[in-house]
Amino acid sequence: MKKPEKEAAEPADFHEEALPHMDAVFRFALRLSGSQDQAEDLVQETFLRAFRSWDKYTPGTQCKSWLFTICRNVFLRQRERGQRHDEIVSENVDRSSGPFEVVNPVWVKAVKADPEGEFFDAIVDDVVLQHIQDLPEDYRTAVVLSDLEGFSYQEISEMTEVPVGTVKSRLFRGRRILQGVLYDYAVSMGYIKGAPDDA
Amino acid sequence: MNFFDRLKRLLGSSEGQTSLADGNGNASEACKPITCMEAMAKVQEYLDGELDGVSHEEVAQHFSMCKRCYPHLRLEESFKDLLRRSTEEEGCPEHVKAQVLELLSQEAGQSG
Repeated sequence: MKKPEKEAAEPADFHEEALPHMDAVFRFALRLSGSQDQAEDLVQETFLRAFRSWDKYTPGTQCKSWLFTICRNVFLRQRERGQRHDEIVSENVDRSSGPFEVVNPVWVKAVKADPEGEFFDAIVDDVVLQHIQDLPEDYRTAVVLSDLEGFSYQEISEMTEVPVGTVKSRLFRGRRILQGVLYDYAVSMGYIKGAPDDA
Repeated sequence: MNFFDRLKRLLGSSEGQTSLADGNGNASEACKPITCMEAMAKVQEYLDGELDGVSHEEVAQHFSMCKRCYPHLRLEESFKDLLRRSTEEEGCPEHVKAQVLELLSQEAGQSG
């Protein structure tokens, strides 16, 4: 028997498919903006826009990534309105021009004192989130979408409209920055004994 | 070839890509050996389940037998766990959820 054609999304389905992602969209909005107030606005705007264009959504597809794409677009538009062009350009400068060391220099330092990485257990969530917030925006977006929200490289590529290779580069470099600052923090707090060259 | 010779080859360079013997001295046909540099370069993709150009088994085999690389894998895993845990408790505030529902209700009223 021939399968029936996929129907357009019904307004009533919005509550079932989209609303369960409100926590995730809020977290993403918070990481993007770094502000509770702005994140709340972003969530409202995202769901309002999603509701208005619900007829363009294909039921059963990746609703979460669709909502994240809307949220990011709203954030970028809001930011563009509030920021001078040269500031945006400066913010988006590709920081990936330096060499990427295959062997992680942070792990080389950490491996002697704590090869299991137990010092990470001592670091509280707020510290981690603050350092994520301090990442350059492109790196932050890649890290948040991959490590916090579990999207694949391909999904992130589609959401951020850059090639998968760029996603990987941003993600790997963003993680390296975070690993470095969290290691330094752990050393400063005495959670791990620093390497001789940390002094 | 004893264990240390095999390890030396593995740590050395990509030239060491001949068949790798397992713990019982039997050659492993299923997995192509990879070097430490290759394993280190692939560790993030390996943990992300996004390997390209090398199989999960090949990378897993390297980490399982290389004492130098294994701690790097563990540190990378601990780091990923830390990130994942950091937002576990975070959710959208109830008043924002209520505002969204109110907005949608108004929107539905206007369009309906």
